[in-house]
Amino acid sequence: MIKESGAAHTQRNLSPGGLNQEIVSASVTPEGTPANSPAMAPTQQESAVAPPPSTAALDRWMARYQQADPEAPAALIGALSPALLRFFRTQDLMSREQADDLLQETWLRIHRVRHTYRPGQPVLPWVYAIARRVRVDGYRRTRRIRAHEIATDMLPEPRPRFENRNSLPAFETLVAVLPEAQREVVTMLKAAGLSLEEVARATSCTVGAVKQKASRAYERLRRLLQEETNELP
Amino acid sequence: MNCRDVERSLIEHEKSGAARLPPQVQKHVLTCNRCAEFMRALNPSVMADAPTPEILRRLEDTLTTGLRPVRPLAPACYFYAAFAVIFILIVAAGVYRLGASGISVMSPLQSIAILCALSASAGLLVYSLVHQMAPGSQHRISSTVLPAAVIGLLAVLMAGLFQFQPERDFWGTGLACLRAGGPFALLAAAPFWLLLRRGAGLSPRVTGAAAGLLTGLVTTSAQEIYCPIVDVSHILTWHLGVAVLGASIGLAAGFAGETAGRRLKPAQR
Repeated sequence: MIKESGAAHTQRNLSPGGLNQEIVSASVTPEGTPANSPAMAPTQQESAVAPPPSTAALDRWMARYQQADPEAPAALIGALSPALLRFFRTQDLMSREQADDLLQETWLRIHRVRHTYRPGQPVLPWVYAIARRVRVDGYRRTRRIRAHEIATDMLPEPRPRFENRNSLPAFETLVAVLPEAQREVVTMLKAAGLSLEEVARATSCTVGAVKQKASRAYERLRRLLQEETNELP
Repeated sequence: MNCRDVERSLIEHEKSGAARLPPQVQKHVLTCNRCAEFMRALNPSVMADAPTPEILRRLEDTLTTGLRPVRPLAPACYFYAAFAVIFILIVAAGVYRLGASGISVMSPLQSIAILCALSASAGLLVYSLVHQMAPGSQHRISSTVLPAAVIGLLAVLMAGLFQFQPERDFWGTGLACLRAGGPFALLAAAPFWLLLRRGAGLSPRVTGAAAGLLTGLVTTSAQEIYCPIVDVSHILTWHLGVAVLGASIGLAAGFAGETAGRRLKPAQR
């Protein structure tokens, strides 16, 4: 069963927000001009990104990493770090420095337990299960520190608002309104590009539970977006 | 197709991991502003959060320095077999050493029910532990809930199967029963720990509780076969109690390990 699911991932590209990117391209008119708002078009910076490696390539790099291939760490770090960094930043809206720390800690832990990856199995759930644990440990550390800080830091953040129809809140701000479990699932699905089964593996849940969380999160986000749009003059 | 159908197809699409959305969804998104906005909102930009080249270089250096080949974790079936063999061998050693007078006192229904329940519980715990060893494994049962569920179900089953029979010396017989069965839990703890230390153990508390409970169940199984006392209070306190104690010790050990690990990290940096 594990091998089957691993094979299902082999042709998928590790494109964060790949699905949405597809919608973006679908929204472009035959003349090449965006059919909807300017926000729909990818930025110049984004379009310059090299195509990410497929999950099959990652599986191979991971196997080579276990065999001490000196090129493997660089390949894996380059391919996975941006999505991991976004995962950390999105989860608790943490600062860049905190997210960088967690990223480094994740790679150190990956290095320490690299023997627990079984060749032939999908790498992404393995990596995100470790990243998730690092995040939980980091959260506990920060919570202990915050408990001693003054209460002004605990004032609620204002709800994300967008100024006009073409300006949407950033992904991080948008998902920040979700409960932690739903936010984690949406981030893994959208920012990291994992499938439902991979998210289930990474979070030690069943696929059904992940599906339910995603469904509730989408419903809530859609309602929020609708409310914000209605409130606009 | 309406907007709700788009949400549903989005989840189905994520389940399949396919590269493209179904054409009818694409068509709907092109004509529906709300769905287009929803899709755009869920589109994270990649480059905004790219790690700095210095961090990437530092990480590469750290990981490449002294990089040595490692032997991947053995397939799960080896661990299942190893846990099962250890469990059965130690329970068999217990029965060999102590005898099987408990079985002769119990009715066939009681014997079959209690032994099946103990085997099933041990099997579920082994399944959970083997999956916890490799991060990103598929979990069909929540590893957090399982130890509590196993204890609860065994308690209900024991309470239903056996009756209250007042004992003359509850503490005396109980402690004698514990002294007879206890060493087998200690005997099982060492090989279980040797097996588990190869794994990642991302959540030492959960792994500790499950491993402790499995170790305790070795004693519970040996006691059920050996102990001729079928009083429900004796069984719940001195037989299942050992399993609960094992789970508590495992949980405490996991907690201590986690705390020690957290204290160690800032010092390592």
